[in-house]
Amino acid sequence: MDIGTLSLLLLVGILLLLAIGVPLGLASGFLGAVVVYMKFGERGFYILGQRMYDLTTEYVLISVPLFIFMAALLERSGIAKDMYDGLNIWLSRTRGGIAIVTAVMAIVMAAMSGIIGGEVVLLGLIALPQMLRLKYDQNLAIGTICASGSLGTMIPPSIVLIIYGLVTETSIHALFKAAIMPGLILGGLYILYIIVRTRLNPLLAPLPEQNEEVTLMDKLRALPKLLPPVALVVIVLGSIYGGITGITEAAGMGVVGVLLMIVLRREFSWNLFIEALQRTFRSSGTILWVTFGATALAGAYSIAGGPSYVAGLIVGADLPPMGIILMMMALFLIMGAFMDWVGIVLLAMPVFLPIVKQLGYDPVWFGILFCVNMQVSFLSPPFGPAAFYLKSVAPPHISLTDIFKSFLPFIGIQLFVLVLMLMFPMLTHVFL
Amino acid sequence: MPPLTPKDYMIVAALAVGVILFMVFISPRLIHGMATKMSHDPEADQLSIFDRISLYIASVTMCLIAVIVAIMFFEIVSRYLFQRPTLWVNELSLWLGGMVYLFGGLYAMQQRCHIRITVVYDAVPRAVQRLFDIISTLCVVAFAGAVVYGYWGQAMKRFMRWEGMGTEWNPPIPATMGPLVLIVTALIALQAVNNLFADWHKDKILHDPTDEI
Repeated sequence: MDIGTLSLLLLVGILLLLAIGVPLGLASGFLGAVVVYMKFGERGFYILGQRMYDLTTEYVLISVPLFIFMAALLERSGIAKDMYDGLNIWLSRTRGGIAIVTAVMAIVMAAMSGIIGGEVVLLGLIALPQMLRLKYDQNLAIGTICASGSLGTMIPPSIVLIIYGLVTETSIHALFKAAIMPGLILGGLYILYIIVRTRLNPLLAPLPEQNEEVTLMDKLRALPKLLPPVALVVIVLGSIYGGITGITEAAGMGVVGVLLMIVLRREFSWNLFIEALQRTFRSSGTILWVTFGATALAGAYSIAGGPSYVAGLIVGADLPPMGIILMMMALFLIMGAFMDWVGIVLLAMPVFLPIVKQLGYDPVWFGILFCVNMQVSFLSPPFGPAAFYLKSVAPPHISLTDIFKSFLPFIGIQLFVLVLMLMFPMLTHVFL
Repeated sequence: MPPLTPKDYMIVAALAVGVILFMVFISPRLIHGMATKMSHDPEADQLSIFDRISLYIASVTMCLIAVIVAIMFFEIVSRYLFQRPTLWVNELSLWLGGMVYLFGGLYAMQQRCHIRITVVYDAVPRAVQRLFDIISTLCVVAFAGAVVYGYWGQAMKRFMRWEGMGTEWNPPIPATMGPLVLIVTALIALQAVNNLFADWHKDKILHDPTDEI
């Protein structure tokens, strides 16, 4: 069977199987088997197991369960709550202060771990009740929590970038360096947006009643509460950027750091530990088996000559290079509205990246663009995961429609940053 | 690179003995409570033998994540505090990590939490869902069959030669991980078939995207 028909079959097959609810990883593995069988017969099946085996011996992949473990432990400790209280003392008298505290806290937490979900839930539990009690505008409160809570996969360390680096054989170190600036711009713009909105319309964020004056002494006394998170950021990012350890060992040290703090804070219990392990094991299993299935499919499709066929099609379409990149961005946004980021990296990148390289663009830059795209996908209806995470902890009167409505300005900011990155690729080189 | 000292061998051997002792003596006593706890299912009594095997393996392999953290910490301390990097930590974590990725998929299958899109699935009546379940299970079984069929020869060859990493410590990672890929893929297919039967008479449940990840 020629590769054109095969590609079409693959596209129809994946859409059909996903629609009826076949698990993504196993559906791609199955289609990989179909592709090699059509092209090479039974002897082609070899590639599936080979690709899966290769993946199990990938050292940097260990950082995925470790970062998840770190986040799972952090969520179950009081470290984050303390940081929130500490920041609150400093900022609660400012207009929109609690929203700013939420965003700052999300940025610091994003620099400790690389996943979303836990962060949104945590902020939803800690910050949302307080903002609602102070009669903050509901949309502003929800949007801030979900948008800044999603930064976990944008600001390094980030699991999205780790998997992207693995699939495309790009240096994860370079990706992490390149992602700092865009991540901070995104977080900074959220804060700027909060400040501007609340200054223009003070009703959006009423100030707390002035019962007691917060003295400088109180502020200084709150400082130690901010220390543990900062120390964790230094441990993880410091050892990566400082070149002391690789990414995997930095993740391991992050886990040790969190565990140590939990023990020192007398919060440790075996129950907490086992629960965190269980959650980690399950999440790693789901993420990595999408990777296994998709690597089998990508391997099968590559030896069948698929990527060069698609590349030929796209390059032959006579679009300007930037037009092709824009088309890819549009595809990511559409796919992101329906699919999980792991699936998109694994299914689209083996096809897209050779084209990007052939056009002469930097794969690191493209990875960052992809990462910003995925930020949008966490918020975009109908399946933006951030909305569902928040819904699970928000008061019942807040509906999903309310939540998605509140995302609109933040999605606008994300798209603005995407355009910024497209126009000024040098922003990714600030730290190189 | 310093040669592997007898002490390094002893540490690795102690770890291996610890895991084996744990599996043989301690974990069977936990197994009932563990199965209930690991399954998050109040009706844990109805778990089939396949569920129990999956949950048992999961309860042991998930501890490997903690082992990886521990040995990495050991490596960092001995490298920076004692200027004596170990030779076995990297490779041992690679080995254990491989087991974690593979068996994590089995646990995810038992928990029915593999990433999937459930819009259409949730919208159709239960009878159609059953049809979808059958197709889904067939896909999994066919995939597992293709993997086992295609990779069997290579995995056996590596296992028979007891192929190592070719490094100083030379752990038999290629020899063991090849067969393990096949075993776990087959177990996942078994678990999928088991799920099909176990869920056949269950009522329709709507999926909550927060379950995933």
